[in-house]
Amino acid sequence: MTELNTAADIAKLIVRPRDIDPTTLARDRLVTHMEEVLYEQRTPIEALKLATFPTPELQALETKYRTVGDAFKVVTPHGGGVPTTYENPAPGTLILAKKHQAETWGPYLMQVVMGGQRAFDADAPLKTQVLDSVVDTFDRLPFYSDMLNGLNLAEKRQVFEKFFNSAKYLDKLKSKLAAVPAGTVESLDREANLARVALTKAQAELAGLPPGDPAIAAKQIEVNNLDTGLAMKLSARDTLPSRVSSALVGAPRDAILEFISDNIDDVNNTIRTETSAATTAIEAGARSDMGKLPTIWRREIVNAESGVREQVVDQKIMTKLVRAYIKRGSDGLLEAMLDRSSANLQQLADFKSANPDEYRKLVVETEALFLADYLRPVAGQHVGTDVVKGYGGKLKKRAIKKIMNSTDPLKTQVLYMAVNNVRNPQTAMLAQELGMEDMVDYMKKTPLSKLKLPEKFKKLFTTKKGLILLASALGIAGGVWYWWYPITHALSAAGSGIAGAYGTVSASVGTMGAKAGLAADTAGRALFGAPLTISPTGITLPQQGFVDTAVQGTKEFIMGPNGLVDRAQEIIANIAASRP
Amino acid sequence: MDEKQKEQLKFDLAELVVDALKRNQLDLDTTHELSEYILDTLDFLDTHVDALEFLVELHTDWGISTEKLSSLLKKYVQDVQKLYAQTNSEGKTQEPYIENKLNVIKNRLAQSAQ
Repeated sequence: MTELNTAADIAKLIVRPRDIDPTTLARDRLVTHMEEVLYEQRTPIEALKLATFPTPELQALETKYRTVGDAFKVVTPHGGGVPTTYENPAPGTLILAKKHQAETWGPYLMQVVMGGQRAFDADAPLKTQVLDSVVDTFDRLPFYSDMLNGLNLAEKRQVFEKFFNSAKYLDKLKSKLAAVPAGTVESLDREANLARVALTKAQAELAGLPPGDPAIAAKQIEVNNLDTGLAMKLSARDTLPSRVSSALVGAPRDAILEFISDNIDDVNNTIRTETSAATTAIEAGARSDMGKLPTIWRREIVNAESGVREQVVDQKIMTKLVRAYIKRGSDGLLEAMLDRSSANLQQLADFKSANPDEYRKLVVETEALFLADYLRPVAGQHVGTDVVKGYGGKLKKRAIKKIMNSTDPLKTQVLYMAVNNVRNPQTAMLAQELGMEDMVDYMKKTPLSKLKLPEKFKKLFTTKKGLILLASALGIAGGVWYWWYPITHALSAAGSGIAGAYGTVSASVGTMGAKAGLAADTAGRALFGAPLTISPTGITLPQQGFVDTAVQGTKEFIMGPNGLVDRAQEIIANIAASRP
Repeated sequence: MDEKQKEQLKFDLAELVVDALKRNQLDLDTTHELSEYILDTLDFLDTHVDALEFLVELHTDWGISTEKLSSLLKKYVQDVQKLYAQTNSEGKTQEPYIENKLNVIKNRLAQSAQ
């Protein structure tokens, strides 16, 4: 033992903080605390929680953002729609969005501004960001969202009916609009917003000018008293609707009112025409009132040091949804999506009570989308795998396993829909995880000649009439498949707006696409005698062969060659081999 | 797994993290991330297969290769093998999700046939 004779000897033994590497110090401190909690208090959860302190980088980032606004975390929508977590952002809410996502965010940013609130990017000048986004994306304005904000479901439907079927609502609108100060974007309230879109559509129709036609600028000047510079700038925009609608930013109120008065029929007709199909999306949005689908699984941050924008998976949100889903089923999922506010939950309960059948169907669709569209990408499709290291895929699998564990027949449909719906590598991955690859391969790759065809279908291949019928059916199926996607995509603006109003983002559109795809898919499979039936909800159902395959696949996954047990034993051997 | 076994698994996993941290197999950031992940995942670990799968994941995705992990892997491999040995001898599946899955499908098919 060292003999301590002098103060200097003692001092040598005192480890001063500055002499220790801060990381080492932090590590030692954490280990000590964790062991204390783990072994003395026997509370493993608390011990693990000790290790979940935020990293210094995250702390710095949060500090920086909190100086800008009072809300740090704003998530970016996936593929379209209005972010659901900040429907009513507080003043100073920070909003971050990538350039390519600005088209989705633009209207939302504008909404924030219009509400007398401010949207901030971490770095970009506010005005530039907001106006650029707004102008760039006016044609995707979710005016419905503004219009319907604060209304309950019945009121929303009423508004839609009125809006699409009569001029009465516009009369009401006009009276409201009269109270709106003319001038800047900031001064436009939601009624003005609605009027502007209505006008935009009418104008686009009336002007009859193709995109890029410089005459549009003159039209804006004529109709809206815009100055030449702004009109010309707007004329350079990519699309006609955006140019037309953009031109109305700052348009005198009287010009808008006058235009609506003069062209009320055209406005209505134009909107009705353009939105007749969108009404379906609206309906879907209305039906989807029970849930905000989680387009919130990732968020974008700006690296505090490099300034580079990065996407990160919002693990907490996603985990919350998955956990809610697993623990409390579809109700839990939907409630979690709704953030469990009392108003939302009440609305959900009302909807469920009033429309139990619709509710159940949409639960299936929601769950399928949840699995297919929102859990799947987390496995690394859209973000760096290092960011989502080890995350997402496993939870997804557990979620699916829970579905398999369910005694609810609909859940089975969900599972199959999720796997069958999305024909891409992720689907294959999903299928593989579930041991269903044989089934998928069978459906996708089995030559027609080897399929066991029902007797009645054999005639399709042996008679001229049958071949014609077959070709027609294939054409229809293919047509539906390929036709729906552009249509639904084209409806995304309206759909996202509507869905945003109902808090469902673009899920309604996605649902439509999925259903259409399934319809085509089902038709094709039924035609070929694939082992599927069609359920009352239009969702394909697996038959016994599928079950056997799935069960066998699960067993293989665990006990088969290179299965879970094999892999575990390999790891054990490797650890033993590396022992010094 | 019953509740007692689940509690033991929680303890084992916390101990595994502390052990890996002490042995420099995890840095602080990764520990932070992993701890959150474990906390988020614990609720999903219902069966021995789940536990085994998660332990394999801790090695393959998080780089943990401690003796503690090895001993846990051995334990759960034995549990799973025992489970499936019972399955074979009794001629039926023991995993509840498989069993339930079969029932679901059978019921559904029966309904469809009516």
